[in-house]
Amino acid sequence: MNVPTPPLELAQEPEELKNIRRKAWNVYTQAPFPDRASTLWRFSSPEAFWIIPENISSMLERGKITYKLEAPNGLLLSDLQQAVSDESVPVGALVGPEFGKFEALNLALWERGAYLRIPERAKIDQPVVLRKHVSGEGLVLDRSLIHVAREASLTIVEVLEGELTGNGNGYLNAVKEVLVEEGAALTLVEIDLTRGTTRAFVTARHSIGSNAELKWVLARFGEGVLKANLGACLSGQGAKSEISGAVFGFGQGKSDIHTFHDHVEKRTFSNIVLRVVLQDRARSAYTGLIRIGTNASYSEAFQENQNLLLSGDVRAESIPELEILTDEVQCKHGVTVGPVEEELLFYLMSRGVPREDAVRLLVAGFLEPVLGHIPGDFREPLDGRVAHSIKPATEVENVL
Amino acid sequence: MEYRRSLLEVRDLHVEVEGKEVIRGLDLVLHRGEKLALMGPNGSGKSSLSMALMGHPGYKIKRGAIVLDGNDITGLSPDRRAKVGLFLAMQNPVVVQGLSVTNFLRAILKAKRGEEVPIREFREMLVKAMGLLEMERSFAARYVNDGFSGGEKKKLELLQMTLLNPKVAVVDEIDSGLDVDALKIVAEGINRVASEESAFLLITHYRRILDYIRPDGVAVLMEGRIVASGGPELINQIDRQGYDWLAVKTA
Ligand SMILES: Nc1ncnc2c1ncn2[C@@H]1O[C@H](COP(=O)(O)OP(=O)(O)OP(=O)(O)O)[C@@H](O)[C@H]1O
Ligand SMILES: [Mg+2]
Repeated sequence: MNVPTPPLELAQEPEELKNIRRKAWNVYTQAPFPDRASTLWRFSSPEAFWIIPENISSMLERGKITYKLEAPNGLLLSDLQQAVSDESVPVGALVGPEFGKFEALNLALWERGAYLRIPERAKIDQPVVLRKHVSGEGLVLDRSLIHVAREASLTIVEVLEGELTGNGNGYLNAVKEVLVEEGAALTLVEIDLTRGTTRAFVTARHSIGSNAELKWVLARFGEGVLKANLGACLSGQGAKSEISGAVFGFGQGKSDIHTFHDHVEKRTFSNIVLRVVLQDRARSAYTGLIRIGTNASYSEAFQENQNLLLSGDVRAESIPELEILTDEVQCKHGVTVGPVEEELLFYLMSRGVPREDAVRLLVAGFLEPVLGHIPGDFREPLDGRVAHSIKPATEVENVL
Repeated sequence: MEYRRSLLEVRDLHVEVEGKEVIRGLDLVLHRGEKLALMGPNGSGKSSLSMALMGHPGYKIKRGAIVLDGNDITGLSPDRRAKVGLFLAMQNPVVVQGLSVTNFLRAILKAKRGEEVPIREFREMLVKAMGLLEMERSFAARYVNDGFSGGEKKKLELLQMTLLNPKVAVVDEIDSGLDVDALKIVAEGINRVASEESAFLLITHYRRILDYIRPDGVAVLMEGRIVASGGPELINQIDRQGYDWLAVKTA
């Protein structure tokens, strides 16, 4: 078989990483396809993310990603590949070769990548902005590693822009590993502004040390196809993770989001708020797993997924899963699925607000608990997409 | 009585909610400059009437017509009714999660004018109106009715009414749950909006608010029909005797 030599074999990489890459390549090419009966793959077809090995080199040539960091006081974005060669950077520690078939493709063949290390006790007040831009019609492998050292604190805003075209097999395959060390606090805001029907396969894992805090805010508004597996491991006592996600899907857009909060240690806290708005023929699936391990007593975990349906042709699925292996814990989850409430629409309209504007206000209000966490300048394009994309369903029109 | 043009005319109105007829042949006329009190026992259909007037989709108009200042609004959507000049202060206004009072009020003013109100002008209007109603400024940042006390909700209804300055206002039990001071503030607020050019329908169970507002007359609603109407002296009679004597009369 004309298997591409992982292109990085030639690079000056540590032997250890080369081994990881070879292992990952084996997993990608040899491992069976994921089981569609598993929750993780129930709502997406693995075939959609498979590229036959022979085509990969040429697909990679046709996809492009650039990284740009806007940061104060000399904080530098490094080339991950460079960083791996210069110092010991734990690439693959959280999303390793065995993690999954498509993650393995990323690990085997990523190039350049983005690496950000926040030194111990650094307190950065201004948001650090990382801009990613994708283009072309091929495959993009995006790999980033963020390391927030002990007691450092900052906000990172990651903006993904551009468009991957081509109705072939091209897509964005992104893997992110984030280490939040003891006592550190990271607010990570990820805004996806990709255009068109860009497809994305996204995996992220955070490791959160004792008394460290992660606030993770995600917003994705568009008609692309997304399969995301987002997780945080609460690996130190008193670790805290809060995920807020806002999805607004329209056109034929599809989002399949899985979250995993893994409570390993005592007194850990997690919370998830996922708000989904669907219009036209868009679809959403959410599967959220909370695991409270045997050592994680006195932990609390919450999960809430609300879905607002703006047309009769959309579909939303939501499956919460709990795996509780110890006592003395508090867990709660809730799901709602439904159209815009008639009483709310009536209230706004009775004050003279036309139906479309009323729906817009209600959608914005519905997303506010998530978007409210996003710093002002970065909200505008999102608010703009809500304002410009909403066309309330005719059903609603008939009622009022 | 001198001739005054009617601002609101309701003719032979029949309204159904959840398959039940709750307004059963109702006629009502409000003249320019008039303030009419609408009283009636619990469940007699007062709120249903106001919802139907405003165009709530759950309150189906089966028969009859609603004419506002010469426009037949019977088939219009609620926003169009508002545009023609109708306002309803609701008995139980809903909570709108995530929508701040400020953004809400800006949206309704924009809807009224057909264009965005400049931010400075808006702020001035808001500060003034909130001041008159003795509302704390921090309300502007809160979500609409979210966590508001009963009295605060009523004030927000009145604040909207003030900014919209309607031709015809239906005010559904704005006095319920208000303490004495708030009642006075709210009544004064209503008196400020009311003018010779507008008409008010004041739904209430209590005489007290009417002592401040001094309506021109009273209509009594029972089982979906107006069963009596008269001058302000009728208020005292209801206050003393309740409604039973009227029920007997119509039986
Ligand atoms: N949305 C609804 N669904 C079902 N029944 C309703 C609805 N709204 C009103 N009704 C019924 O219609 C009748 C009239 O109710 P309405 O609220 O109009 O009375 P009201 O005169 O405003 O009473 P109150 O003085 O207690 O406010 C009642 O029997 C009530 O149960
Ligand atoms: Mg009522």
